[in-house]
Amino acid sequence: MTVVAIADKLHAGGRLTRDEALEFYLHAPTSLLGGLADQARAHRHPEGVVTYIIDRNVNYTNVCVARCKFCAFYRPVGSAEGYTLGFDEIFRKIDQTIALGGGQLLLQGGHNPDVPLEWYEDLFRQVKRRYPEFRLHALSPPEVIHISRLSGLMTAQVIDRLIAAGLDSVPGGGAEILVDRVRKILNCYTKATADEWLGVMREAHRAGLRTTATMMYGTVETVEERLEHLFRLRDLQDETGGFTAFIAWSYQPAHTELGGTEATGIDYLRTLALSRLVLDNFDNLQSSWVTQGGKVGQLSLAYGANDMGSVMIEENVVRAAGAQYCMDEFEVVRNIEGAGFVARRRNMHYDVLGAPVFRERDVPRMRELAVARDDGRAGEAPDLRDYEARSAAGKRARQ
Amino acid sequence: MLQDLESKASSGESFSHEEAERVLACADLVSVGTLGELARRARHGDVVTYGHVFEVAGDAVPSELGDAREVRITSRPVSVAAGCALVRAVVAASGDIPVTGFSATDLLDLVGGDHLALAEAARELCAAGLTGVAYFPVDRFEEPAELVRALRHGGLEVSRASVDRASTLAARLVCIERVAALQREVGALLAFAPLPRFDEIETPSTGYDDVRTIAVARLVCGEVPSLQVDWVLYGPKLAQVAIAYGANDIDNVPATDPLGLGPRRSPRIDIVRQISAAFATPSARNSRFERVS
Ligand code: SF4
Repeated sequence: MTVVAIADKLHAGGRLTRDEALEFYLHAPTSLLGGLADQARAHRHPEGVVTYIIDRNVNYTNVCVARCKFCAFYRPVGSAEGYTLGFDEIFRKIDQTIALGGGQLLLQGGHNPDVPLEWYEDLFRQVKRRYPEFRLHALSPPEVIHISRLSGLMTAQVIDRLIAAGLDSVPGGGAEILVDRVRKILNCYTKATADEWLGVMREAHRAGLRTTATMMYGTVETVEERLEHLFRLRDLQDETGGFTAFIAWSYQPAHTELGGTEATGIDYLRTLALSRLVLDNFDNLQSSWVTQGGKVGQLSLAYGANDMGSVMIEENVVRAAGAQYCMDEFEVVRNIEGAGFVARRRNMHYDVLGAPVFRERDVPRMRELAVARDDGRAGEAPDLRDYEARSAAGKRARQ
Repeated sequence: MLQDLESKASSGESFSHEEAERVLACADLVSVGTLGELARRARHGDVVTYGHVFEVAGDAVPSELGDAREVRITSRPVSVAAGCALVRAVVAASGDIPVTGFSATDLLDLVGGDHLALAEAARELCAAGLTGVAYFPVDRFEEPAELVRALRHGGLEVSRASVDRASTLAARLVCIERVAALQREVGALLAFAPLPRFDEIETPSTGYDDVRTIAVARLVCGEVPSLQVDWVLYGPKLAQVAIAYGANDIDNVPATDPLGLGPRRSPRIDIVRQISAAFATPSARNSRFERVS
């Protein structure tokens, strides 16, 4: 099929096949891709609203046994730079988040063998006791798999126990590219194969949780593999309808073992636009301003995105790989309105919560994103001593 | 929404004020880009040029010029004599690479706003080895033609128009139209960099405003050959996206690898990668905008 015929098919409401998507990505001008994605966005969101969420991205530990080649964030077990936050540190972050108008933590971390399932359960229960309205968007599928391996429970059982403790939704991290050839090269096959990642999401959806889906592109994958990723997500969404949103971001190469270069801004906009066209069963596509910067982040709104993502407040993972952008609520809203949309706050389920907080009350401006620990201190918090460590180094430290 | 303007954009004919305002106000950003890209292709085909510049920010004379095709002095001299001394030192270290320098605003300030004195200062700087002014910020001059004549009378080229500050789209359109008029009057310009060099800290310009500015500058300034974006100031991502909105030149690509990111990520390799990934053909150019590769 030619590009023109594919465009006609999309205009008529048709669904892209894999071959058509490939042809379109390879040969359609960026303006055509962007124009069609923008139409698809407007069709799904005719009210002209662009949403965002005020939440905090907390990475509770950087200790990780997975050792993904694209990751600049993790530290191996026993590293002097490894850290694991304590409950009080996390509660303080929640207090700060609430002060900025936020109502949720995005909680993700390394695969730390010395943090057992009970730690997460206790944390979630205490959070819910102290902050009954506060939401926990926590633990991506590879983390769930890691906890299942540590605990000896099935992933579905882990999910059930986490839900019982207070888990509200699951972030779509760790998907990278859902093709095992790519995952083997990136050394993220053992943390979760493509089927395993999708399997945990299927279980989470069946358990009643909503989740997001992500794609980290621009490492070693081919265009066909990038598309394979999108189609696998589309298939699962057809089956469960459990994904609330899709977020694509480009691999950030600084300080990683894999190295190399970052995909370009135009590649990002084309990938985003194609995602909007392929993922015709996803309501929401987020802009990744944290990897693309505010300017290209805002331009995303013309190429298929209908959500500016999170104000974030804190970020550790992308920063470790060289990207350091910051947008507080004022900036996010200014960019949304500057693009001609109405800005609305939302929760993880994409329910609109209201107008910007800073228009209702004074909120301090935020010039840079916080980090896990302000003083850069490493080490695990003392309350970890109450839990069983699995690694030799962890056992020694807790003696 | 702007389809009726596409044939005019493709012809390379300059847009009127009303047409420019219509493009700036259009909510459909992708259509704006289509017009800018059509106008770029009408003038330059698939080629997008880039210039490696070695910037001299203080008074430190360069020792290693890397890929530089232009050495650009960006500081403000305390006097014409001090400016001449710096130019002589930089020229001596730059071999046969052209040296440009200073902002026309600063030079005019140094001579108390007097055009005759400006021509004399230009003559002295030219004698010291300066080939042209680095920045000619049109937002700072309501009637820039006389200034261009004075500088050129003294022997300095004014080949690039720039903008210091213009935070609103309306202010940017004033600058764009001023450049178009200037070119019609004196015809000296080889390039225009329409994105401001200085931004508001509290409310920096947005991506939408920047790419709209690029497109409208391309559409209004049909007689200015090159439309450029500064690689260092605006970053590789926006500079690359600007190509899809009408920019045909990436200026101020570092001449050396200041971050030491290694050969695959050096500016020399990265600029070619970025332009190619924008579906254009990269070509290095010198400070006269002559293609050298
Ligand atoms: S990406 Fe996650 S799982 Fe992989 S090494 Fe980094 S922290 Fe560990």
